[in-house]
Amino acid sequence: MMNRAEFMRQLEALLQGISPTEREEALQYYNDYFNDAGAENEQDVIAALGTPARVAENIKRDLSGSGYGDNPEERKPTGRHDMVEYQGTRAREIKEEKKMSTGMIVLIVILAVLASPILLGIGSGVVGILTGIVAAWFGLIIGFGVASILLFVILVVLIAAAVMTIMAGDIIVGMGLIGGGLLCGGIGILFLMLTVAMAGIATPAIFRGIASLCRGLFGGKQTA
Amino acid sequence: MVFNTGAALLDAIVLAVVSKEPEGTYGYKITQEVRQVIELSESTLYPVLRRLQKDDCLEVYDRECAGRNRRYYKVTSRGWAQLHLYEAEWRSYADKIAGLFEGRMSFEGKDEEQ
Repeated sequence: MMNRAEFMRQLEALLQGISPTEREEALQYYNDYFNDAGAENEQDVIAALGTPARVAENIKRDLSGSGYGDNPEERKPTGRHDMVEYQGTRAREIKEEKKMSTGMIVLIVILAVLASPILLGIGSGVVGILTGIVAAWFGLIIGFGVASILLFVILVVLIAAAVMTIMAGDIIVGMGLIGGGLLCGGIGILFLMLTVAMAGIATPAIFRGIASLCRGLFGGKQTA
Repeated sequence: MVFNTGAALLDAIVLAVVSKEPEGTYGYKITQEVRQVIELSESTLYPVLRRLQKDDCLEVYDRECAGRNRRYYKVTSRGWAQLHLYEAEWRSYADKIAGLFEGRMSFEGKDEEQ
């Protein structure tokens, strides 16, 4: 029956092939192990550890970098050391990514909060001006259109009134009414032409202009 | 146990056991606690501890105990990161196996990640 001292002596002898640092580390570990198990468990520990040769083999195998473990199936040289390195790196990368993105988000939020009065002011101003211009433009078109329709209505009413007046015998007043009606009709045609010109020709032309301006801006950015 | 404990899982178990002690713990105690979870030959643990130490996942220090120095192992910040990685991997692994056993696994469409 081997005792602790004999076990350690054999182990030390078997570990002569490895570096002194590694040997010291291993011997200290197994010395601690015997101490912590207690003198009364000395034989149990020796039985559990197996032979010094087996313990030494486990230590040396790991140092040679081809895995470890008592089970031969687990001892395949799968480059598991590299795996740990890779996973460690991956863990660090994940952490850094998290840090970066949180930092960026915080920065963006702070900037947005600080700039919000200015951005809001400028933004609402621009939106207001644009809305005003568009509304005025369409207001003019609608106004001209409605005016021309009213003028045509007046033309019809005045002609009708003139016909009735002439039939009643008052030719001079009737002629006056027809003149006024035709005048209104003429102005109505003018407004109608203006409406058609603004709605049908100028508006599409303006939109086309804005569109080509946008294209020009984006195109410039892309080539830059 | 009918299932083999692979090297990565052994690393994970050892890191988990050591991480339970904020002040660190020592080889004999680690061995006993690991052996309560998995079957393990007592001579297997030293190489694992030594390599985790070299990988910067564990740090060692000596503390006086009953008139002698005892070597303590403690999880480093890198060890914690590694342990969290193992925990996440294990959860996903265990969940997939359980899903397969319980029949809620669907095999449609998804490419397995490497």
